[in-house]
Amino acid sequence: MSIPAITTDGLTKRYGDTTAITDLSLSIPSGSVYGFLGPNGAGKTTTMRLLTTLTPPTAGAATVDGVSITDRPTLTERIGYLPAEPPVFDELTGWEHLRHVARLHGLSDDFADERIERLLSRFDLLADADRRIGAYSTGMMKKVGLIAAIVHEPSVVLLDEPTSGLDPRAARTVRDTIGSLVTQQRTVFLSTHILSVADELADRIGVIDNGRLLAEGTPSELKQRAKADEDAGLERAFLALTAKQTDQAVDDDTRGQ
Amino acid sequence: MTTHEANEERASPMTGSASECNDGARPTSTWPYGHVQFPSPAVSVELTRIELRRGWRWLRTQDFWQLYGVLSAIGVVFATVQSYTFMLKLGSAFDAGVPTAGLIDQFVFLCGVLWLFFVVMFTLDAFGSNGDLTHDGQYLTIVRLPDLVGGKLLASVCKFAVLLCPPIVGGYLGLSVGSGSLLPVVGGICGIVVVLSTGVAVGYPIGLALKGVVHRSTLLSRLKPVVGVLLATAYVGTVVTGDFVAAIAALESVLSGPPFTWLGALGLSTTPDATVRPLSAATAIGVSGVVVLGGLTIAPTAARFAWRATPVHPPRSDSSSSSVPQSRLDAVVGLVSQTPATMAIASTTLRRVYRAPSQLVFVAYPLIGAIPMAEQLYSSGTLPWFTPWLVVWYCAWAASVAIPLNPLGNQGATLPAVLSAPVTGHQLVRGHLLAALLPTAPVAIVLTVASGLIAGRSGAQLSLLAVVTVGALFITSVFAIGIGSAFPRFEHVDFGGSRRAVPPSKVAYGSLSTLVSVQGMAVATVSDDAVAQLFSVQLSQWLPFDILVSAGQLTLLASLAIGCGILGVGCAYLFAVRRLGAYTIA
Repeated sequence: MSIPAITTDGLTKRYGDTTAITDLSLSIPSGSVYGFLGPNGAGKTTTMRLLTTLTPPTAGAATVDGVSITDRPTLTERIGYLPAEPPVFDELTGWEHLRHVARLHGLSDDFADERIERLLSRFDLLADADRRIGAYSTGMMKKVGLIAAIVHEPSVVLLDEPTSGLDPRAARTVRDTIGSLVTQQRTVFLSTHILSVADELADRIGVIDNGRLLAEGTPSELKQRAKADEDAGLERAFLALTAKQTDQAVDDDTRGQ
Repeated sequence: MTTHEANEERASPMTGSASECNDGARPTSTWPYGHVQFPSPAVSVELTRIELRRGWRWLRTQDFWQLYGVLSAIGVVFATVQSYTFMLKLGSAFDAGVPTAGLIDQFVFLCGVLWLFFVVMFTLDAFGSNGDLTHDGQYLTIVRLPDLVGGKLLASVCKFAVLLCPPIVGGYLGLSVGSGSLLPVVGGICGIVVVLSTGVAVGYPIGLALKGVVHRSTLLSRLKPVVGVLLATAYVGTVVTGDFVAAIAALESVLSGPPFTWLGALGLSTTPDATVRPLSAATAIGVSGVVVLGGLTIAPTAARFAWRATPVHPPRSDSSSSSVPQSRLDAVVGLVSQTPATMAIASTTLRRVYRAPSQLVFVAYPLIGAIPMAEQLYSSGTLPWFTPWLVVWYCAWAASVAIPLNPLGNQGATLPAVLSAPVTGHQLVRGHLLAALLPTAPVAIVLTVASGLIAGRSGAQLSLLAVVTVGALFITSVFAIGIGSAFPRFEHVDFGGSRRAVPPSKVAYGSLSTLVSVQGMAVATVSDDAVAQLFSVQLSQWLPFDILVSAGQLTLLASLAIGCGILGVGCAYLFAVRRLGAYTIA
């Protein structure tokens, strides 16, 4: 049994009267891909923000790579994060931006440049590296954001919708990159709407809705639990799980009235 | 074929012309003689309605433009009062039956100036981002190009009518009061319609054509910001030196003759006792009709010329490899700090400011106050004795507002990346301070010493000024990052097109400005006896109960304020380090 890369224990986040995450408990082993699925507004991004120290929890505790999410200085050395909106500066060239991020991670220019060049080449961006990001397409920005998230070779990578907006070739490169990260014993926490990506890559999947973890297991287990046959894929399982939650909410509302 | 061309081509079969596809569902109107198509009024009105609604909702979220609107409104009120006063005089003269030839000439000249002003405004509107296609020309897949142009023209007219109507209404109110009749208002309404309709018909096609020329030229595309700055500088310069008024006066002979006399005649055509020729007024209406038809004919062609141009981009690298960027800026920053994170924050901040200078627009306001000094320098070659202190104040304030006053908001979409990187609060603060001081300190020293030289300061005083400048820059920058960390702002301000900036919050802006002003006055009081004497006299005049403050007492108070400031600098630094290092997103 490998050591957990991410653990959460009763993690809860409230914004005033709204509860975004309720009592979330996870244990994600190192060197695995964890798919985090949920409809819009389910709490996926809030969970990512909690795990990356960007927002403090209201209750509960969590560790990433053995470091508490309240210990930002230590934790930020070990994680890489790609938010849904690529965090890039339009005014910089692709290369300048990646060097900026590498410096923020304390990498020397010589060391970083070699790594940046390799990653740019892998993502077919080398020819455009000297152009300003403002002239990039959405997909190219996403690629730069992804490279920035892994340029310092973090132990745990948290990716929010990494393949959305990418062409099939770029999406394949991202999936291959995630695969290679896992072979290097890195852990990937992957939030996505594209169920086929989660189905293909994830070792385990958690389904969240209305801030609560509805189900967790391997893709096969989830399909089994939703009584979906293997050919129907993860989509049917996802719809069945989240529909139950919606039906329950409707029932509660009706009873309340 | 460009995207816009393709869109237009795709749109054509759907919309066609009235003769090909007049199913009643889509209002179209076609010039019966050839291929010239006029905008459909119904579609143009609908596009204008949406454009104005979008603009109004956008304005409600843009405090910078609201402030600009308030300042413009003050100008409009001033123009309205002036207009009322002048027209009241004209109306009274008509009513009294006294000779009015001179006043009528003045009125005709003002009509010409007004028309020219609006032509320039419409030209700039079309040349700027308002003349661009939104959403990459998506509208062209829905409506015909002439309809789209019609919508833009009408929306522009509606916007500028807000500027024009109050002075005209005020003026004709004065004319009505003066002449004792409401009839002049009819002429005024005709005048508004003619000025706006002919102004947009002439100005908009010119602006669109200029846009097309610039889009097609690599050189002009590259030099556009430089040309803009040169034109703005030339405008301010001619205003300061009085040459602008002289240039308008030189046009008097042109603006006082036909067709502007016809416009003047139209404006007074319904005023009792005004001795204007009815034929001139009728000619004005006839000519304006021709001008509007001509404008509506040419505008779609000019729009095609502008929108079908493939924008010139810098050449792309052909090779599949790219060289590691070498930067002199990094080398210079590296001389001061070797910590990668501090270097990253400093060099990236400076690079962004250099490449998107619109971020600096918020530091330009106080320069309006420098116009009288520039005027004095131009006319007499000297500057007031207090000018060097104002330069120190401005440089310190500008450096602080430009860079360190919004350290979190300036990160934009990259804030999560910065916060989830192992960057300490110290590194973030030092990076921003470095970015603020590195380029501004040398410039500030040169400006202060130069203004001191012109103001007749001694060598010793100049040395003191140089030292004070560096100290003031550092202290205010530290204050700025402390205040900015406490009151971040994340909403950006749009300047049209893709140009946008995230200004500091109003609280941060106001707090820093007050703090810098108080500290600046304190430093000037302590280091310059003349300043202490001046403040002493002024305060003694203003304070109630005949309280007198001597220069010595004032110097003591100023020293205390400086002491508090020095303590405050330490507090601000430590606060910023803690705040930035531990900042979380709500």
